[in-house]
Amino acid sequence: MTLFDACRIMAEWTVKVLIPVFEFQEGLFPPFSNPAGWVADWLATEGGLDTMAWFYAVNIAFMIGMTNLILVIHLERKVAARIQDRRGPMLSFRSLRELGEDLSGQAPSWKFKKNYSGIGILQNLADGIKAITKELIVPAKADKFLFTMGPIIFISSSVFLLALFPLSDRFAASSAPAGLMVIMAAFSIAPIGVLTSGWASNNKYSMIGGMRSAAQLMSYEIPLLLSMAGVFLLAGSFDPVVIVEQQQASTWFFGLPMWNFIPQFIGFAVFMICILAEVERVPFDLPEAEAELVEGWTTEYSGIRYMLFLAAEYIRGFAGAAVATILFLGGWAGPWPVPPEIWFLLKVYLILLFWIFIRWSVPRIRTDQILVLGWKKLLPLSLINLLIVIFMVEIYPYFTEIVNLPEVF
Amino acid sequence: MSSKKVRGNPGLRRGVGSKTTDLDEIMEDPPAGDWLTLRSDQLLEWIDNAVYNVAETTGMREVVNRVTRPIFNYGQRFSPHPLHFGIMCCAIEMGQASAPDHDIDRLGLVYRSSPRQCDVLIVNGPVCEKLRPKLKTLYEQMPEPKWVIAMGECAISGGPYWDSYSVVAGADTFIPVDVYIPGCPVRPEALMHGFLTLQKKIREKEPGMFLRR
Repeated sequence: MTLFDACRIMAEWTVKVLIPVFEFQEGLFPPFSNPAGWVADWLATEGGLDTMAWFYAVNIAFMIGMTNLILVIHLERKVAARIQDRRGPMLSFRSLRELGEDLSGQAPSWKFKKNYSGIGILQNLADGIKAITKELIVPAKADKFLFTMGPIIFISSSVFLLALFPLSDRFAASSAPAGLMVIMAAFSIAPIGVLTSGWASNNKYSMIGGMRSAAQLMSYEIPLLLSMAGVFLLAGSFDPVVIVEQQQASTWFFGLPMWNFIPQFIGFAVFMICILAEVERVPFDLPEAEAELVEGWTTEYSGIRYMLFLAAEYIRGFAGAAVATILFLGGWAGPWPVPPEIWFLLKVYLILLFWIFIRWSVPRIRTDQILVLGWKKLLPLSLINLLIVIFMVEIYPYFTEIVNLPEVF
Repeated sequence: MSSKKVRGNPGLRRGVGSKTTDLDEIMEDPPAGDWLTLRSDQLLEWIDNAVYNVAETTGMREVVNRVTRPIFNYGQRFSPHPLHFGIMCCAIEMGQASAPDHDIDRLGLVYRSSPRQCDVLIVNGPVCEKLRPKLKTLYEQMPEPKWVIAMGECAISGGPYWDSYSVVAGADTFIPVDVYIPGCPVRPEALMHGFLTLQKKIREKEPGMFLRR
């Protein structure tokens, strides 16, 4: 049973509850009787049921993404602290006792020690609540329309990513035949939002940050897509499900599945470097270089806008790791007792952990260095990878028909 | 706009800032023929006023604040983001507080470089006359629920430079200071205790935030 079937059953149950409500309302409020009747009629049709099922499926994908977002931010802070021999945020669940005291009106007890003895996952909650209460500043000389449009472009294109990648072949909010092309298109929208918000802030540091983001896009986007082209050529499809099935079908020694990172290790390396630049994590976080530009393109944003920018960056990181898993690490394929969704998340978190280790180990590179890296090194390497794949797919099978060669690939 | 003609709803401007409790006056606010002359920001202002006045007169504001105030206060006191700004030797101690020995990240502190994203301004050193306008600008650039910590003798009273011609006698002469941390320089433990004191102050003093004014 797929996610959509489960959502369809939920939608049928919801409609069974909703239609009597609308019919009751039809007689209750005469001015609103017509719309209520129309909605009830529409919900009873197949299209209405399908729409409601899609609504449930997309919301479930969104909630899973948001849960993972909280876990990823917590993992980042704790692992960073452990790398630096610290302990990281330690806000414990006992601090909720103070909240209970305040809500019920009891006298406060000043036992601060107990607030900081936990795992610190409530720190995200505190940060989020604080961001809601902060003042939203729009600078006097900023372009007000673009200043508000920039975050909308960046955050909506990032949250859109959550609905696009499947967690397994049965657990997918959307399964388009061109799924990975849509994902990469959604990834490429965000630099426009960065450039917009950097320009609209009317601040020189924001402006430089936005321009750096555009220059970075020029350098990494071409090798990224060329390294993905090898995988598409091997699978013959853009569909994530087909790509994962192809990786599982082609076998190696002892019948082990030959996932794409084994024959295409050059493409895998190029892709990992480029996706790191795509999600703007540390060796490539030029647009928000804290040592050079104040906070880069987020300098003038305060309150919930800044916090949503931060959240959207982690969502992009999660989605980038998911794309890498689908393309090169065999997706949700794994031994039986563990369900495929858990295998998928395990691989994604492995990549994220690797990225966190990189973040706290290596320095940031310069703008000219990323241009040189992208155009002079990664682009030829990705072309070589593409040649290897063409040899595997087209030329070698042709010779196996003429001469008696073993079928390796 | 060159013309000086006042646009919009005159009753709207009357409502701004006036804490009226007269129900008739509230209901008079949207005149029937004047709807189309409202700009969108004026409409938002009118909605703000209407919601505030209705909540105030019916007592709903107290009820909402009683629930939201502890929740918002929880977030504010457990996630202080100070400005990454150092003046003199107390800034070294501020850095040491983030180091593995005194891990101030346990309290949820993240140093941000932009004043737009900060809650706490730490004045850590003597403020000379040339720095004073810049520091005031930094304070004014921070978004609204904001606090100031005067760290060290120099920020409290001028310290060893108390009779200098160029040093301001304390940060509280030009910005409101919430917590004073004595010491020359301040130890990292004292800075952590200062943040815990600030938490205590926020928990006691911060008003409800859900409905403005």
